Amino acid sequence: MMARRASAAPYLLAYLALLLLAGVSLAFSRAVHWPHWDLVIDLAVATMQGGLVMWVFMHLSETGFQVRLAIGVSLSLLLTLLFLVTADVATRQVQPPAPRPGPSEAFYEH
Amino acid sequence: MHAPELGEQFSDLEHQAAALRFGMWVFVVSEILLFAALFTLYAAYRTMFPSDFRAGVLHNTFAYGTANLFVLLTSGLTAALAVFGARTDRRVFTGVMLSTTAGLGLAFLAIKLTEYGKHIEEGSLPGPWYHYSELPTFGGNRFFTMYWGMTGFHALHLTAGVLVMGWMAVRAFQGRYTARYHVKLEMGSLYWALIDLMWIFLWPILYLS
Amino acid sequence: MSAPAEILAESTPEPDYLSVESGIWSWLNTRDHKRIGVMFLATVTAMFLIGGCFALAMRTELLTPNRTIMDAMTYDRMFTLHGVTMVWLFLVPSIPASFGNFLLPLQIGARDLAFPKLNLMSFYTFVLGAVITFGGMMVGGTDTGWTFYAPYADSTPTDVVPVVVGIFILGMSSIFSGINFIATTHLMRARGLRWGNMPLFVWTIYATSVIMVLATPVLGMALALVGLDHALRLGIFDPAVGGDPVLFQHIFWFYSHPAVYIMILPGMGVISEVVTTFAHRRLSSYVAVAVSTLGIAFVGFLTWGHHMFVSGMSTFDAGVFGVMSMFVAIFSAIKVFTWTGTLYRGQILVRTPLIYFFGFLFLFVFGGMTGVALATQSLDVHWTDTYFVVAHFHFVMVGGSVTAFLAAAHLWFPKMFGRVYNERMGMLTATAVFIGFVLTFFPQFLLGNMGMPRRYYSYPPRFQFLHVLSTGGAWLLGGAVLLAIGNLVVALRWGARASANPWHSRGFEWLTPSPPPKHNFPVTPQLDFSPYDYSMTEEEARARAGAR
Repeated sequence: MMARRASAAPYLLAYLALLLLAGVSLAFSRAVHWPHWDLVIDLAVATMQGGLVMWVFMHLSETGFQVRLAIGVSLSLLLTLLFLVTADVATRQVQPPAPRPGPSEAFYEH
Repeated sequence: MHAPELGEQFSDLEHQAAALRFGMWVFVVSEILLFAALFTLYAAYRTMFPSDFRAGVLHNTFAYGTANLFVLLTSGLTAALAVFGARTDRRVFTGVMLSTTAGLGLAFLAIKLTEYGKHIEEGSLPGPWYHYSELPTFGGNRFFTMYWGMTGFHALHLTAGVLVMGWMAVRAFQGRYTARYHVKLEMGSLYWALIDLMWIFLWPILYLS
Repeated sequence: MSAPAEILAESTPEPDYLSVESGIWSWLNTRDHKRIGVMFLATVTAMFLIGGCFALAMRTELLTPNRTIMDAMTYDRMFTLHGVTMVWLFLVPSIPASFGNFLLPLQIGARDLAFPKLNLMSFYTFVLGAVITFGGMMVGGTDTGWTFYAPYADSTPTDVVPVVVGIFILGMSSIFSGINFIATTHLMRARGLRWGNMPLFVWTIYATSVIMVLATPVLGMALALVGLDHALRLGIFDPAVGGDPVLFQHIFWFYSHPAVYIMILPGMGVISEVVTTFAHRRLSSYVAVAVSTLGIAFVGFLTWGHHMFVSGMSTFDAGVFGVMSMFVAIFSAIKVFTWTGTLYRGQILVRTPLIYFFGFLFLFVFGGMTGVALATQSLDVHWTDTYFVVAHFHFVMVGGSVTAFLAAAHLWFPKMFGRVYNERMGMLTATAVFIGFVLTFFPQFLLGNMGMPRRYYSYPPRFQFLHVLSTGGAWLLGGAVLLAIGNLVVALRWGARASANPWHSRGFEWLTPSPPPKHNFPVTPQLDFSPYDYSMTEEEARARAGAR
C-alpha cells in the first residue's frame, strides 16, 4: 500500500493555494481586464486549481499509473469533443440565424 | 467496532479497497465526460454568439458565484480532511468534517437558490420563458439556457453529494471508518471533489469572463 | 498437493453453478456473474427476436410499391421500433453483458467480477430501461428513428420523452457494466496472468468497457437535452430560437459512433477465440490483434463526424473526420489478415462456430470496405440516407456482430450449460443465416446506389424486383436465426452431456469443468502461460494452471 500522509499540512497548503489562484483569476478579469485574454487566463488558472484538487484532495498523488492514465484519456477525449465541435462552428460557412444587433452590444459597452 | 465485510471474490481487504477505489475513479472519469457534453455545447454557442455570452457573463452577479466558489473550495478541504481523519483514526474529527461538508453543500444550495430567485425575477430564464429585457437576443437566450442547464445539473449532483455526505457523517460517528478500512469514505470524498472540480470550471465561464 | 490435473477438472466436489441453488429467487437475487450472464443472454436474445419481428413486418410492407399491410405512420413507427430495439436493447449489451459477464472472470482466473452487486444492479437497470423504452414506444408511438435527430425530435407530436429516459437508464446499465469489467480486468487477474497473455476476448471486452464508460455519458446528456427540448420546448437544438441541430448530431455521434465499436469489438474477440479454437493453433500474431483492438477503440472516438457530411458541418471538420475514419479500416484489416493467417497450417475442425467465422469474414470485409467508400466525402454525398448506407451498416452490424453473437452462443454453449447441441442442425442454420443475410442486404446496396432513400414507405415500381428479393432473404434469415436459437434451446434440455472441453481448446475458461462450479475454479489457478499455446496438451495446461 502507498504511504499514508500523517500530516494535514498538505491539505491546508493546497487550500490556501486554491484561494490564492481564485484571487489571481478575479484580479485579472476584474482589475486588469485584457478583453481577449481574460477567458484564457481564467481557464488556465482553473486548470491549475483542478490539478491541485485532484492531486491533493482526491489523493491522485498516491494512486498508480492506471488511474492517471484513465484521467488522461478522459481529458483528451473531452478536449477532442470540445475542439472538433467548436472548430466546426467556427469554420462553418452557413450558420443558424445570427444574433440581431442592438441591445446586446449596448449592454456590453456600459 | 464494526467488522468490514470482505467479498468472497477478493483475497483480502486491501485488495477489495484497491478495487473499490479504482472503480470509483473510473466512475469519476465517466462523470467528467457527462459534463463534457455541456461544456462543449457552451463552447459552441459561445463561438456563435460571443458578444451575447460576454454580456450574459458580465450581467451575472459574480458575488454569488464567487461566494459559492469559496464555499465549495472549503468543503473540498473538509471532505479531504475527513479522509485524513479516518486514516489517523480520529472518529469525531472525521464525523465533524463530513457534517461540515454537508453543511457547506447546503449553504451552496441556499446561495444558488437566492441567485435563481433573482434570475426568475428579471426573466433570465431558459428557453421559452426567457424574457430578460436587457438582452432580448437569441444569444442571450442561449447563454441563460446553458447557464440554467449547467448550474442545474451541477446542483443535482451536489444535492446527491449532500445526502451522501450526511449519511457518511452518521456512519463516521458510529465508528465505521477505521484507519484499516475506510474505502467507502474515500469514494464519497472523491465524488465530492468532483463536484468541487466542476464548479472550479463553471465559475470563470459563467461569472468572470 | 495431490495431482493438480484432478484438482481442476475431474474430481469436482463442488456442484456446478446451475444446480448449486434452485428456485426462481436464487436466480433473481444471484450475485454470480455466470447466472447474471445467462439472464442477460436470455433477455438480449428475446430483444433480438422481437427486433427481428419488426424488421420482418417492415420488409413485408416493402413487398409492393405502396400499401401492403400497414399505413405510412405505422411504417415509421415500425422502423423506430426496429432500430431502437436492435441498437439499444440488443446490439449494445449483446456480447459484453452476456458472454462478457459469463466469461471474463473465467478467462482471467477470478472467482467473480470485482463488484457482483453492481453487476446485478446493472441487470435490473437494464430491465427497467428496456421496459420504459419499449413501453414508451408502444404507447407513445415514437416515430423519430433510433437517432432522435433534432429538431424533428423536438417537435414530433408522438412521445419522445419516455424513450429517451429509458435509453438514459440503459446507458447507466452500460456504464455500471463497463466500470465492473474494467476494475475486474485490472485487479482480479489470477496470479501470473500478464496483460501480454490475456485472452483476446478479454482484451476486446476491456476495450469495449472503456468506450462504454467514456462515451455513454455524452449520449446520456444528448438524450437528456433532446428530451428536455421535447418536453419543455427549451429549444437547445431548435433553430427557431437560435439553437443548432447540428450540435445534437455532434454529441449524439460522439457516443453513437464509438457505440458501433461497442457492438463489433466483442464480436472480434469472439472470432479470435473461434479461429484459434478450431484451427488448434496460436494466432499468427497475438500482439497485432491486441494492439489493433485498442487502436480501433481509440480511433473510433475521432471519426464521429462521418455521419454528418451532409449536415452542414464545416469542410474543415469533414476533412478531418473523413481521414480519421479510414484509419479504422487499417486496424480492421490487420485483424482480418491475422485471423486468415491463423487458419493456414492449422488443424482445422469444421464445426458450427467456424462456419459463422467464415460468414463473418466475408460479410465483415464487405461491410468494412463499403465503409471506406462511404468515408469518402464525394461518394458519401451520393449515398447518404440511401439503402446503400442501410446495407453497409447491416453488413457490419448483422454480418459482423450478430454472426459473432451466434458463433459465441455455439462455441460456449457446452461451457455454459454442459450440453452439446445438434451439430448438423447448427451447421445447416449457420449456412442458411449466411445465405439469407446476403440475399437480404446485397440487393439493398444496388437499391441504394440507384437512389432508393432509406426510411421511405413507398417507392417507384422499377425498384420492386430488388425489394422482393430483399424481403425473401429477410424471411429466410429470420427463419434460419429462429432455427439456430431453437436448436440451442432444445439442446438445453435434450442435448447430450458435454465433456469439460469438447473443442479441445487451450482457453483458460476450459480449464474448469463445464458448466463451471459456483466459484469458477476449485483452486485459484496460476495462469503464467498463453491461452493459445497448442504445443502443450490439455493435461499439461491443467497441470500448469493448478501447480502452486
